[in-house]
Amino acid sequence: MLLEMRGISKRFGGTQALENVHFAVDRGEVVGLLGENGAGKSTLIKILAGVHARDEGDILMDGRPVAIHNPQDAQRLGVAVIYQELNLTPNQTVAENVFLHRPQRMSGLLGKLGFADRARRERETQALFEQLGIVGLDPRRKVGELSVAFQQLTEIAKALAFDARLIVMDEPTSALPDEEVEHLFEIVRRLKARGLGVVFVSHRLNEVRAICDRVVVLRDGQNAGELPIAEASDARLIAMMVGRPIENLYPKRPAQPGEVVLEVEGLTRRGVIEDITFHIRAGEVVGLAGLVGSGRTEVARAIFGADRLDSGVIRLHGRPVRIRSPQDARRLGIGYVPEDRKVQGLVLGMTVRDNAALTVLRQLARGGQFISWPEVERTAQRYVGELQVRPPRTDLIVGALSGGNQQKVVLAKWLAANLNVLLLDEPTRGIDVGAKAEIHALIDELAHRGMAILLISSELPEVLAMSDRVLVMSEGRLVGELSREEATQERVLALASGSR
Amino acid sequence: MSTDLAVEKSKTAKAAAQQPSLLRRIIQRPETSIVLVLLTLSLVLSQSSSAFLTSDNIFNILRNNADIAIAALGVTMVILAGGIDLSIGSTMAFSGLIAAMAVSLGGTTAYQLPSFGLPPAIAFALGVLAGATVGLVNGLLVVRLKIVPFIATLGMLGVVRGLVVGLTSGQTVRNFPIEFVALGQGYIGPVPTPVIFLLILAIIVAIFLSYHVWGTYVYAIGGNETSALLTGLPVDRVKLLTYVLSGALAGVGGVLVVARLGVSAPTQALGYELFVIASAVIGGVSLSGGRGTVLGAVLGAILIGVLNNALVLLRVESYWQQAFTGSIILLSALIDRLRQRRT
Repeated sequence: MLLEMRGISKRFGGTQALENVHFAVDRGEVVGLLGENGAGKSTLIKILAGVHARDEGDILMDGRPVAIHNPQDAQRLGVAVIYQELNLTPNQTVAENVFLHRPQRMSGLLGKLGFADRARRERETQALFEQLGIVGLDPRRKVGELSVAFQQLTEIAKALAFDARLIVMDEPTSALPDEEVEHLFEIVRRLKARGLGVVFVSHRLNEVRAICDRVVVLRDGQNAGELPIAEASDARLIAMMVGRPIENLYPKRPAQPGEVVLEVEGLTRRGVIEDITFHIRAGEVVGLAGLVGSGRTEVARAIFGADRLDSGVIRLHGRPVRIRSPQDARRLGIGYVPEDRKVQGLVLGMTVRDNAALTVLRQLARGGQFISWPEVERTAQRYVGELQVRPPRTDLIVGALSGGNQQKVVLAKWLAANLNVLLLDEPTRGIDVGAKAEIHALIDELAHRGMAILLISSELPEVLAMSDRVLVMSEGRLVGELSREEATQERVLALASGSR
Repeated sequence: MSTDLAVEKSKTAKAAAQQPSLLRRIIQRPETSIVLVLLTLSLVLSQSSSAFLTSDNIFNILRNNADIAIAALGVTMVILAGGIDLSIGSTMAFSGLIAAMAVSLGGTTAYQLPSFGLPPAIAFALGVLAGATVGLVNGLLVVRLKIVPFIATLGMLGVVRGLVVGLTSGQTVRNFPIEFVALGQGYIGPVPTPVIFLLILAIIVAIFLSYHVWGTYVYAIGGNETSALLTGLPVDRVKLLTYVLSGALAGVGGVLVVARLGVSAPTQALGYELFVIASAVIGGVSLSGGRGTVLGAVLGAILIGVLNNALVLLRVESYWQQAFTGSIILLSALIDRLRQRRT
């Protein structure tokens, strides 16, 4: 075995993050590591990376016990971890980043003085790219100018630059457009062929099945099971992850669309979105699909007043409205659940109560000025109960909740605001399967109550299953509209990638 | 059966770990540690100097630091909203000067600075207004011109101080009516007047922050500005307000300094931003925004006052005081950092 982790346990204060966990990776093997948020995947990875110290257990490489006390130890042993938040310096070039840990020095005196050999560094970076089959990435480009996909490839090259033998990828596909995922897999296969071990952490079961040889599932900090890929069906994996079978991940009742609530016509923001026209009826969920960067988020932000429009008309209930700021949008009953809840959706350091009531403080305040805390508490309680936020307490700091429950708090915030239109941007990204099913049920319920909902998601199965109609964007334009019946994965992808 | 019981027990233990007891929550509050430090310090000082624990000395400490504490109320709001105000000292001097010129009866200095002999109340209001104006400029620089607060207010620190020196040609303004001087030197009952000011203003700001809608917005913006913006909160206006209030409160402090000392000097309140920001930070107001209380800031100011007083009583030369205060800032920033790591 290349890597073997035996009986790993780890406590953080009062919580047992890992308990007697076993995990092994062989040479040339790709192992999927699955589990809900809080199952202990990140802790396990961070122990391997030397970020956290284990309380108990042994780590063996090539059958010999090794000591990993800090990230440098892990690196020396050939363990590279590619985190979701990439560890690159945006203002330096690709080559500089790839050889950050092992500067290529010039020969002779200058090199001894610490001067780096740029040309050599760039040459060797290029050589690494060729080995990996990476094309179209110039080692001299600044990392900050690259797409996420290319940044990720830079990280992989960086791992190889210090002779990594085991590469751990933490949700590498979550920020990648679909067409880049296959490219990444191609590179993972090359790594595998070179005899490297790869750990692939992901929430997306179909991807795990596409690339892994074996799947290890964690639940509540313990081994929940292990399956060779041939036996890993969705149902079995989900049951292992959640600890119970989930009957229906996409509860969706047929819609009874009412009158048109939101109408946008010719929305244009130069260079970003071009001439976007569509409408949403009351009780309707309209999916907005497209590759990452196709302008989906920008459409939502424009409607919400977060970005300025160059031209276009927005009508609510048939009347043209001016939306120049998120404040205007909120006043008109438009809510926006942004794609990154931690950065954009929540004040992590505030309580559930404060976050949930933030949109309606004014309405709950006496004379619109002074807050009545009991009133705020009642409102927060109501939504915490309705949305089944767990634990069902309003006095907890939001940052302490799991991702799924944080997202419920974001939703609570907008439900409290009495909306006509709800713009959902990646509402279930990075959320547990269990919580995902609950949020889907909530979307369905809101539509049934007559809300007009725009659903943006990179997860095609979600868009297809939850939407009444699907709009497809490509390069800032709407390139197609499909009814629920017409919308298949193939048709949406064909439209999205511009090949009709 | 017994294993089930054990599971139940560990579950309740987990729940207990999530919800700390009231006592524990009180102990963990930053305010509590300042009170403890204050009490310890007082105990030690009362042993080494009989002059310390007298009501005269205590009230003197409070009087001499009320202006800093009042300015700290303002800067606390700015910091809570994720900003910083470095122009405090200059703003205090400017406000003091405006009030001094307005109220001065003139005639005592060789140089002819304008003096208007206005009623103290009006002079006071003009001083505060001057402070608020500086705050407004700070706020506009940050909100409209998008200059980072550190640089905007650092620039204003220089500009406003220069304005004070320029306006006075380096001269002092004196000769105030007794009613004005009483604002700084007088008593209401047994309590020094500036302390009354502090008390009232602290209560108003505390109520604003906990019960006014915009108070909660202040915390939300400091906690996560992007999220606040996308929630549809009036982010720019709230930030602007915090700078204006910070300027106005620095103005109150500045006028009180002039009244207390009976003179407006161009170097007045020089470097006070250090004390004022230290008060807030020592009091548990997080420099990264979104966390902290008014009570903490006031306690922080008192702690700095007591320490300075201790240095005097222990006959440490006054030249060393600033070094001590600076060290305390670093220490409290360190504590803030540790606190953040734990949660």
